[in-house]
Amino acid sequence: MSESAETTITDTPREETPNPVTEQTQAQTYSLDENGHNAQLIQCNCCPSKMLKPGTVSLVEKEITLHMSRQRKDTDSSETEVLRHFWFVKDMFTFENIGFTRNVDTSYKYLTCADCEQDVVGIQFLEGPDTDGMYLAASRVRYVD
Amino acid sequence: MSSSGTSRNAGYDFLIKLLLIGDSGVGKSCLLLRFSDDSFTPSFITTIGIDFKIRTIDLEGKKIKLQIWDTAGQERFRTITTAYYRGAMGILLVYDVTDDKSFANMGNWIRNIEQHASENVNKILIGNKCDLVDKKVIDTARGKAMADEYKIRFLETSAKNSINVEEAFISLAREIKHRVMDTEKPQPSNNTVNPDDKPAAGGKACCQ
Repeated sequence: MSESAETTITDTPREETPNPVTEQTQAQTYSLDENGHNAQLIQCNCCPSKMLKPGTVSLVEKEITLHMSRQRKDTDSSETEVLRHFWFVKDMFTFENIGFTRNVDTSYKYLTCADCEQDVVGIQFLEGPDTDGMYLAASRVRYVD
Repeated sequence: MSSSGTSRNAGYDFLIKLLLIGDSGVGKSCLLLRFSDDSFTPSFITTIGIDFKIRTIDLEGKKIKLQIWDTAGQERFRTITTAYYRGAMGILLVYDVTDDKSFANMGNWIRNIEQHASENVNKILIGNKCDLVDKKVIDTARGKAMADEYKIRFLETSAKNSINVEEAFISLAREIKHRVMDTEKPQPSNNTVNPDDKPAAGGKACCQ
C-alpha cells in the first residue's frame, strides 16, 4: 500500500518484482539544465552516434520493462529488466539519429541506435495511455559535455 | 496544459521521407549502419528488424531531418504497396553489383514505383557491395547506362567500407531540397510534409 519513494534513485530490487531488476544503481544523477531538460549531449553507449542534443528532452520517472541489451544465446526466454528513468521525447524528429524497430505485438516499437543497432535504448507505445511520445532509457545511453 | 509546438522548436528546416527499395540481400539495411562491425554479434534488434530511422544532416546551411524507411523484408513477397510509398519524396533503388538478378530486377522496381509512388519522386540508382571487386558481375558502365536510361543519378557504394554511402543519401536529399524547397515559394521553417505518424497530441504534461 505504501507508495514507493519517488525521489531516491538508489532503489534495489523490490520484493515481488516479476523480473530481475538490474538497472545500474550507482547513484546516477542526470544533469539537467535550468529548464529541466538534458544538460548534455546524449549518445549511443556502443558507438559515437548522436541521439539528442542538449536541452531537448525532459527526464521522467516511470517503470517500463525493456529487453536486456544483449540476449543470452543459450536461453529461449527473453531477459528483461525494469527501468525507472527515461528521457521523454514528444516529437520523433527531435532525435538527431535513432532507429525504430518494426512493431512488436502491434503494441510497441523499440528504439535503437541508428548507427550500430546494438542496444534496445527505448520504446514507443502504439496503444494504451502512453502513446504521446517516446521513452529513451536514461541508463542505456551515454552523456557527453 | 497544452504543450508548446513541436517541429518548430525542434530546430530543423526540412523533413524528407526516403525509401530503400531493391531485392532482399542487396544490403539495404546495411546502408543505414555507420558503425557496424563484423565483430558485433547480431543483436536482439536484428531479429525484430528496423522499420525506419531518423537521421539529421546539414545541407547547404539547412538542417534536414531524413526519415528513411527500410522495407524490412516485405520485398520478398512483392507486397510493397501504395501505403509504403505514401509521402515518399525520394527513393534509393539498390542492387548488388555481385548479383545479376538484383540488377535485372531494377526495371520491375521502377515500374512498381511508377505505379505506386507519387509522380515526381526523386530516385537514385545504387550499386552496393562495390568492395567485392572479384565477385563483381555488373560493371560500373552498365549501372551508369541504366541510370541514364531512367535519367536518374547513379552511385556505387560499399556499406562495408563506407564508400559513397553518406554521399548517396546527401545527393538524393539535395535533389529533393532543390525540387521542393528551392523551387516553390520559400516558407521558412514550415515543413511541407507531415510524418504519417500520429500528430503530436497535446494532453498530459510530461513531467511530474
